[in-house]
Amino acid sequence: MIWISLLVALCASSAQAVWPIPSEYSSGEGVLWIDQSVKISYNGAGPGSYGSHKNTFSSKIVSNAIERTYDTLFNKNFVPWKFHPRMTTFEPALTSNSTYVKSITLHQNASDPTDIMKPAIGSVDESYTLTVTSSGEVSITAASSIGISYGLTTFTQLFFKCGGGDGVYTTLAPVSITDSPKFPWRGLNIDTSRTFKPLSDMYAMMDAMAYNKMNRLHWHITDAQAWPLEIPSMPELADKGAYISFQKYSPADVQALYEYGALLGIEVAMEIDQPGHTSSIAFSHPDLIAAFNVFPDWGTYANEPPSGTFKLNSTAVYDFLEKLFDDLLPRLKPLTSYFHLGGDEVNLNAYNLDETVGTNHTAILQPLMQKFMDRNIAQLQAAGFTPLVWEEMLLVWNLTLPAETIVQTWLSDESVGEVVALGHKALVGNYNYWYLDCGQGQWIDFSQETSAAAWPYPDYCSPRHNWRLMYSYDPLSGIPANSTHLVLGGEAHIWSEQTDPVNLDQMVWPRTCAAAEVLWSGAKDASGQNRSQITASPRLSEMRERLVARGVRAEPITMPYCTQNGTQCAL
Amino acid sequence: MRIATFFLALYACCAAAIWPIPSSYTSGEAVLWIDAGVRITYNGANNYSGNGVPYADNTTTSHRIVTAAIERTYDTIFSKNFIPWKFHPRNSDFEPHANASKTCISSVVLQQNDADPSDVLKPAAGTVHESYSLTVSVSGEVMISAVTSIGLVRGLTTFTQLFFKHSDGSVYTTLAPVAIQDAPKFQHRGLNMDVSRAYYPPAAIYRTIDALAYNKFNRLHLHATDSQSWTLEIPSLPLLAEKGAYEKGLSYSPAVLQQIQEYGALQGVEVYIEIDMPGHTSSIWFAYPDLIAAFNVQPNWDSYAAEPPSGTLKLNSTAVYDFLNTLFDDLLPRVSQYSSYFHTGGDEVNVNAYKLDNTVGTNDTAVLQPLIQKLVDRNHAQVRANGLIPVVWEEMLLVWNLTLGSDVVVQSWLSDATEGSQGAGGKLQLLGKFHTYSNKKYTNLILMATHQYLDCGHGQWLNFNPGTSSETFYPYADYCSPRKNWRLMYAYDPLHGVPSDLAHLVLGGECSIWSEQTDPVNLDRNVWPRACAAAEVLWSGAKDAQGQNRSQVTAAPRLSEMRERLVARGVMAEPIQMPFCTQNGSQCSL
Repeated sequence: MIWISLLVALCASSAQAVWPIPSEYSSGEGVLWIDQSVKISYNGAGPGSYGSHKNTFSSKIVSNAIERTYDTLFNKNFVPWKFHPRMTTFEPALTSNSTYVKSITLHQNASDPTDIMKPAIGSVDESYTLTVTSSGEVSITAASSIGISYGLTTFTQLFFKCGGGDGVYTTLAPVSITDSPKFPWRGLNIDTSRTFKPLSDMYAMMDAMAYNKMNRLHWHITDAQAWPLEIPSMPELADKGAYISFQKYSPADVQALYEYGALLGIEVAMEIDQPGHTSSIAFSHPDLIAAFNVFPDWGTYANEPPSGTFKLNSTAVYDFLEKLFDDLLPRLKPLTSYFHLGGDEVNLNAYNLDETVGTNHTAILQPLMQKFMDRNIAQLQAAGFTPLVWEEMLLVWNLTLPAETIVQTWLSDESVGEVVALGHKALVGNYNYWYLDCGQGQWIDFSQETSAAAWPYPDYCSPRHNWRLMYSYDPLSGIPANSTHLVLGGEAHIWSEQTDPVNLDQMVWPRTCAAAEVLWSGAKDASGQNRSQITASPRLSEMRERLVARGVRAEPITMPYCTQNGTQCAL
Repeated sequence: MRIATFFLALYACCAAAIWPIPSSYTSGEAVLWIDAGVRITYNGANNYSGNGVPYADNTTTSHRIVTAAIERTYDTIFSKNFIPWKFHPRNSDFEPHANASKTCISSVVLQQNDADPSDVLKPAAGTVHESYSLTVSVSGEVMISAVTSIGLVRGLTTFTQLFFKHSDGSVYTTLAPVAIQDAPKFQHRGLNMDVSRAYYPPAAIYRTIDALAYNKFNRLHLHATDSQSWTLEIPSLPLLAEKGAYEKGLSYSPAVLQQIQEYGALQGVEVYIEIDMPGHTSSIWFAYPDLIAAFNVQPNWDSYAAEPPSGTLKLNSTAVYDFLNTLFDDLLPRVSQYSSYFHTGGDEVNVNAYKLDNTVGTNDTAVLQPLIQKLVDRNHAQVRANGLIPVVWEEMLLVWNLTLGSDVVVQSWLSDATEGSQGAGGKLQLLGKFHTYSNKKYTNLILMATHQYLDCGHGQWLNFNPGTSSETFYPYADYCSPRKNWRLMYAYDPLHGVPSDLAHLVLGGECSIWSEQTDPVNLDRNVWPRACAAAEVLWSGAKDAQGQNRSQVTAAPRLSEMRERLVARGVMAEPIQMPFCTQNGSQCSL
């Protein structure tokens, strides 16, 4: 077996993407073929083979992973011509003496935890080992079904399709990989309020996330612009608050999406953002919302139109929330441990127009906000959920929050340090790096009077954050060593002012892969250095091709010239 | 009939998109339905004596053009239409109700008032009139009249934009009666598409041509070759594509190239070819290494080129001249069937590369300039001999001070990689340079500021080594970051600062999609709908009837609607606003 550094391997210009990069990875140059008759066997977390054991959710996870493995290898593979010099014969010759993968053994050496379908942080061991021998024996070992699933994901990334359409091969045998994630929370936040995403698009997103070993979908399901979430006890919410009748998520849709994710190791954390970002409730419950859709002066009352916020001292609001959560939370509970209470961008002036408050004075508002949050958290905890909130609740409003609350930062790197200094768990996702919506330009229309001052119409977080910038972001930057355990991970965010199903893929992929590798592999390499773009770039280009082969319209990050010629596009 | 200003029409919140906006446009509020049995008749100008004829007639070029347009009209109205729910308040009952007495379009009459000029399939600037008039009466009679068949094409395109799909499957307009008079402001309205850095299958180019025509663009500038790959199959020089394409099959055969040009010509989109030179030619090296100097210098490629691989045609080489002669003899007669222009490039010539050129051996411009002049003279003589008008990048005129024929069209781009395009610099530069152009007595100019570069803002595609290089280039902005949003593109006036007596020298403009980080997967979203902003500036002008800059407030919902029409055509155009904004008139404004 040849132990090669990644740098040497990439200069040799052969395609060999595994993304995100495993903790330890060695490979050779031997060719193995694989065909659809190959058997994948699973010990089922103990004696017995796949299908005969009793842990049904675990077996569903593994059987699902096996089906996806076949589908990826044989139906969603790609010809890697972009990763070899032009007009060269780079494919191995298939002969009667060619060696095939003979067996794939999945060995789970521990039982899944009981919450495998809704894991709390740390309860599921996602690590795995993968070996491929030169003679074609494959073994994947893990402590959990999810670890097995990740091992299979990695396994598929070793293989390429032949140009003639016949044959799937690797040129990397033997392979030895030991892998585990750096951070337990590796997420993508998708906004389905500003534009609606059909379930099929959400599934495609989760599929691509899982292929990048991401494990959390933060579902920003409602906001000021539309309420697409059907609540059976209050059908008017979606009937009046959705953009149009066919853009709603039914309870069955929600369950299907949670289940789809759970089988991929992706836990869904739904967010009902509040008290701001709730104007869409006014279409059905106008009495609950203050400062609704002030026009044209919306800029005083909200960051975007339509303005509006929950009234802050209203029993009607409390009753509404209790009813809403009573309806929603029991349905979500079987497949998630988390629920996001929002709390970003609260606009004080809106409370001047709230007749239950009538002031923008924070000394008055803060205790009301505390009470509001206490009510929400109490109901969440009673239902068995761990709450998430945006950082403003802790850092701007100085709320007292239960210790287990996960605080999602977005405004700065310093925010992360402040959250962990207060002893709270933090998620990263600084909008200067990991907001995927940035750089499209303004979506606000400027009048002929305001237009000149707004030229050249950059948006709030312009320019677009390219993958290199996202990749260079270290979640642990500036965090004291004794607090790094409080940084659970982070999320990339796709806000949807100018993203809808037509361009969703391209806005998210492959840039989110950069975040995925930072969160799985860490921002530093084995020698403690920032990871190199030079070695990452061809691997990311290859992951992009794999995503395109899966039907995800991921953008190119460079020209074929650059990937055909090793590392010549460098400075 | 109510004469509605655009302001009123939009505040009334009905979808009313015509993009680009016509010169003169009035509409009412009456409903008309249209069904697939509607008959479209064409008088065929002087090519046919008599009244209307059925559309399936390809006897003349004019008939071919109109026949194709009629087929597209049916296809657009009945198969590629959309339900405009995003343009009406949520949960409103916005669709007209069909009843027994509903009025349908009873006839569509196409009236061509003159014979097409002989070059209708390959017009030079100004030779083919694109103006048209369109009337739709409340009782359902439609009349489109134009001087040329291409004018009728434009009128039919506008006609389709009056109609919406009903959720019951039928099709209607709510805008009758309609009266439109329309004509383009600029004669050259183009997209420059780089098919070298990434290869695009013909289907992607057809789709792009289709979207261009739907926005009344009339030029597709195919940047066919560059340093990274050679996509054109040249039968007399077969090695060029066999060795210089990225991969087998990623090249355009003569037959395919002709089909692309013909496909465009029938829609009034002239597809003209650029072979960029003397720089941007490294891909020739794969077949003919002796013709290229400074090929792929590594690692300090940046001393010899703006991007890897470096390389340039040798400047004083009879072998290069012979090669070009053979190349042009093969290519030009073919492309001249469907275009009147040929672009000989000339941007970003790197003088250091000629130090490594064994026919020159110096970067001294005093030595190089006469050689560039000689090269361009040779090229342009051969271009003209094939009946084509030469086009060059601005550096040939402004940097190299070449003497160019008075027929030559100069394409400006007014900024360079090191300068970027921030702030108002572009505008000032435009003004300053325009005087330079006009002082040189050249009559034809295509303007293309980097404001119209659609590739900007994706970040660097180069990899930076850890350490100093990474730190220097952090946060990895590209040469023309940030991304040019549609508002910025829309605010660009090609005539800004141009003295009125020289305005006629500005033929028009192009937006550009360079393909370092664009390929068939994201082509649509990088081009559309932002190129629509350029289309309206070039067709309608940057100023409204009152001479004011056009308003974003009235343009945005129209552009959102055009975007929906593009999506309905299978073009993956991006959204520019949330449905909240378009459902609620002009509430997303400041």
